[in-house]
Amino acid sequence: MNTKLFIILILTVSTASAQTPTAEQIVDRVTAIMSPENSYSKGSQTIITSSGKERVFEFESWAGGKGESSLTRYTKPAAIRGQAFLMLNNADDIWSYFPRTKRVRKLASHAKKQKMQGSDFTYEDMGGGDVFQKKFTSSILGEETKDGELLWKIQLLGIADQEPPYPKIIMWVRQSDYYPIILEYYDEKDFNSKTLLLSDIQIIESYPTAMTMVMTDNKERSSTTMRTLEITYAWEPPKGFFSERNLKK
Amino acid sequence: MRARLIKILADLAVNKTKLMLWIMAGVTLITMVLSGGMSMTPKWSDMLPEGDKRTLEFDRILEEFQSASSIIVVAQGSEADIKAFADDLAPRVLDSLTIPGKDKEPAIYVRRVDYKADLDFMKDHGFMLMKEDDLKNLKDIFQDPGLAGLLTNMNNSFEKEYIQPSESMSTREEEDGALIFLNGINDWVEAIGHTLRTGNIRTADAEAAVDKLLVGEPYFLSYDREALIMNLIPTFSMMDAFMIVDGTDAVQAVLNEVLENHPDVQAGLSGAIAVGRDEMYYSSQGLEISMGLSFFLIGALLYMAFRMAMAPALALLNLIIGLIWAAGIVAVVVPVLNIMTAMFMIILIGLGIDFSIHIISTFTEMRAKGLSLEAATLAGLQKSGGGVSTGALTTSVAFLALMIGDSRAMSELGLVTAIGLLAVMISSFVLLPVFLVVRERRYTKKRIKKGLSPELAPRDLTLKPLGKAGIIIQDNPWLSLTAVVVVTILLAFSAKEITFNHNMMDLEAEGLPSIMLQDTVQEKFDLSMDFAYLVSESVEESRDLRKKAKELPSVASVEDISIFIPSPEQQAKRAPHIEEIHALMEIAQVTPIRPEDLDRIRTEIERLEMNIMEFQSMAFLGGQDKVYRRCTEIVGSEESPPDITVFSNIYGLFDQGSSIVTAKLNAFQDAYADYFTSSVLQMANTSPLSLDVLPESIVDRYASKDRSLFLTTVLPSGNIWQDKIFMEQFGNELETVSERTTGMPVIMRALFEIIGRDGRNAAYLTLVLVYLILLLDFRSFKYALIAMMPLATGAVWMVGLMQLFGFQLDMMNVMALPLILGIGIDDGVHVVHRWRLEGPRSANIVLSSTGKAVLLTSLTTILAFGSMMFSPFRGYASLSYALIFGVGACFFTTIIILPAFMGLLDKRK
Repeated sequence: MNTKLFIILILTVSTASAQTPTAEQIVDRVTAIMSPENSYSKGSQTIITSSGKERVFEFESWAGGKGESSLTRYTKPAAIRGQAFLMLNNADDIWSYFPRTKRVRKLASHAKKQKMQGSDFTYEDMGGGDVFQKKFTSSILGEETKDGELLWKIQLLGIADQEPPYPKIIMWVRQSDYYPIILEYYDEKDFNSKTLLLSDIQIIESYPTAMTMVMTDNKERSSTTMRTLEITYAWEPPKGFFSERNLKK
Repeated sequence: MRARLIKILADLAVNKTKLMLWIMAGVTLITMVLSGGMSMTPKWSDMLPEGDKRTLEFDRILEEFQSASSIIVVAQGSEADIKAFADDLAPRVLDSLTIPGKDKEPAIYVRRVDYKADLDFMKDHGFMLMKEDDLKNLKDIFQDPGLAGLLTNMNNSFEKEYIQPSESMSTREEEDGALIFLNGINDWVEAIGHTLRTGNIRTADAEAAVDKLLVGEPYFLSYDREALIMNLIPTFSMMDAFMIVDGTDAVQAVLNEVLENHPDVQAGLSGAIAVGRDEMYYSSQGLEISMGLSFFLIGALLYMAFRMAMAPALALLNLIIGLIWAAGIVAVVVPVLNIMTAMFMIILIGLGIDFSIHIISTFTEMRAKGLSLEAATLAGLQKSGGGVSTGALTTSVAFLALMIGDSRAMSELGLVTAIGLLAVMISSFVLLPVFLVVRERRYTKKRIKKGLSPELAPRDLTLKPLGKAGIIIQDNPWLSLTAVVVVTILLAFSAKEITFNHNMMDLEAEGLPSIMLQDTVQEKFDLSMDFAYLVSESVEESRDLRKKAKELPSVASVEDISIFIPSPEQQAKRAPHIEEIHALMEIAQVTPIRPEDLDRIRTEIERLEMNIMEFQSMAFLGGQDKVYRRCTEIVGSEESPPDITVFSNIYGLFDQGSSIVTAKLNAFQDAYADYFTSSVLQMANTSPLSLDVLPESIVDRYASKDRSLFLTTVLPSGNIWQDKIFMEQFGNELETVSERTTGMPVIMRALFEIIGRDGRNAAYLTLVLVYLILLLDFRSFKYALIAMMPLATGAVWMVGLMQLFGFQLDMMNVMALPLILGIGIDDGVHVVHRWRLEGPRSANIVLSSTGKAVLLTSLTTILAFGSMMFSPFRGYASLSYALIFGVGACFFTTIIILPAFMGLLDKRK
């Protein structure tokens, strides 16, 4: 189905519907909006180093299969220029390429739960797909207004045998376009370990897109800002693009 | 009653002069002896309420745990130089030491020196101290001690570690672990390079490289390996105030001697004891400088004001005697002064001199008017006595109001200053008139001898410009009051904007060697001295506390004895892996290196280099600066590849010819392999770890002297001084782990809370009490209220001006708020007293006479407090600025508001 038509259909259905959608319906629509088929973007990532200094990286990123596959290549600064990461199967398989040694190394499968390049995002956080639909049960906790925006407060509880990335997530979703703007991640002790704020939401080629994402680690008291500098959803991956061979290029 | 008392005192001064002098000399002698019992404590915890559980716990820790009161030697220089310096100094400090410049028998001040890890213990139990995951990862290394096998296994292990970088390096502890691994590899590769270059290697060097690879660096080196820490465990504790100074000075003397033999090393003392010594020494020195300076400046000011040398001399003499009396009484009531109460003398100088000024002012005025000695003494005391006694009482009551607070900082300061002020007031009433009479009689005799008239020609000593200003204000009351209201509103807005600086480091002395070295330790070792303490009664409890504390969001790392005594369950899990290592190493065979092995060895060395390069990239992306820097030192970086690295040195050496290279590498393998095997077998020891097997140096670090208590040290993950919310979070979270949490972050958080609350309560109480005293004194609601108005307005001006000039409130200057209520009220009291004495529309005479005295007393107070600006303690300087603003503001509000009221009220009459 044509992507634009699909989005228009979703928005039309949601507007036309007089009844409040169910939690599952909301999560389905969030997943659809958040997982465009393909994308190409340039972005920056700001981290705080162990000495308390700010470090900014710039990268190019390609995603395909609704976020199931992705390739990220760093462009700045010089110390990591050319270093690239390939994630397949929703980050179940991760490879890294090191230009200085010209070696490709596979990261262990459990690496997806680990912090991605010193940021407060895990590899899994960056993976797309239908994680919310498959690994969580959802319920509506209520409606709230933030900054004049009417929101649904959705609770996502992990399904134990599906190995959810977090035991619980609370997500605030805009009623106007089904775009999530806050996600609170909880650990096993029901501590709000991380919070993701999505802001500067712009409509890019019919898709609402957060140009700024800030992930705060409430335990480590650190935060990572990801900025999208440019993005297009019109990019089509050539055959074999998401491959170890292409990673080396 | 007051009038009768004043008459008796005037009578005694004139008629029983000698008797009075003898009595006062006796009182002074007794109080001087008593004042010798006064001492000072440098601990901030001594400012918390007596019996406060955090203070009691902190004191118990200082008393019970040797590691809590240590002297830290920080040496800087090249790695080899600082290690040699440490080896030289360690035995010397354990000797009997003498204190330079003091006639004392040599004594032992240092019980033990910790400056190297206990390698024997680590080699006996090293594997049992490793986490199970690390054992799984690293055990491959210990399969083959031969060079080719070892390099291969090292690479395999390196790559295994690499696949979980964030898990293993997400905390500071893990980053440190990675550095130990990198340092070991660096030295190992260096040893290979050395052998390839020279053809041989000393067994000791090969063994040292093995030790570094297996157990790490024994010296406590900084991350850049250009600084070293030695921990000196003294024979005394932080609680022994006198020993702190003697012990530190004795150690410093030895250190200076040793430094003479190590010209390329810089070293100094830091840690709780050295900082305590410096704080005591420099704060005492600062207060002495302040006192001397304030005496000089006040004397000079009085000389200019009274235009005679004797007036300031008598005022200062009276003040000194009053201070001796005050010190004697205070030494009995509060024998140990804290950082706050230690400055009571400065406050007394600033306020006590005022009494003398008022009395001398009116006395000289009366004499200048031509009154006889008797009449002038009586009139002088009568005219100033009311104001002086009421002023002294209101100020003392204001200080006593501080006693409602829980904190010793405030309650003790209130008590000692109130007592001192009353002592100085008594000396001013009893002794000063006697001095004035003696001086006048001598002066008269001199005049008679010279053939001059014994009576003085009338002189006008009033300050005319102030009188004129008074008349203008009195004639334009509404204009003056409107101006005051406008300025007050503007400054009130400014005052609302003032912020609180919670950074205690901004109050500490600047440039003190021990404090500067604390910064060096922070920078070079990433080690903060601002940790919290938890005490437990068993190793199990300590382990439990450590586990809970480590999970707190505000905690960076936790250190306790359980690091060296894993739980029985942990030991049971580790044992099979250790046994496996033991079994593998027992059957391992070292075969000589053959020429055909060279390619593999070289390939493995290249692989090792690549592993470090990739580790470096991941560390850069992961923000692990220390690991990235170390990797860059070892393999260089892509942007600026160095000409020579430990690896690039090696590759060329492989071109010497295969038989030569083979022989040299065999020499290296022969030098280390047996030692490697025996060391691994020694470390692969599954015997249980318990308190009994730990060496004394480790137990002393964490256990109390009788081994019944255990200390857990908790480092915060943020800067507690620059982030107040974080400081509160850290304290609150730790209190969920243990109610007996203590340490500087906890104590300072409590101090902020308590002092803030105490200050507010004391200020309210002071206002009520001062008003009641004024009511009793003036017997008029109206005049009591008018006398307080300049103070209320002045307090607003003070905070508003502080904000306007870029000052912040802090722990020390916040005390100025209740203090100014007691100090500033005097101006209004004196002026209203004189106004009521002189009658309606008397602004001219009131301001030119009493106004002059008020100006003088304000200036003397400003000079006394201003002298604290030169104290190395920035906290004292901060307080002095606040009080200068306060005293200045109260003076101006007094001379503007009160004449305006004189104009308004007297007009109606």
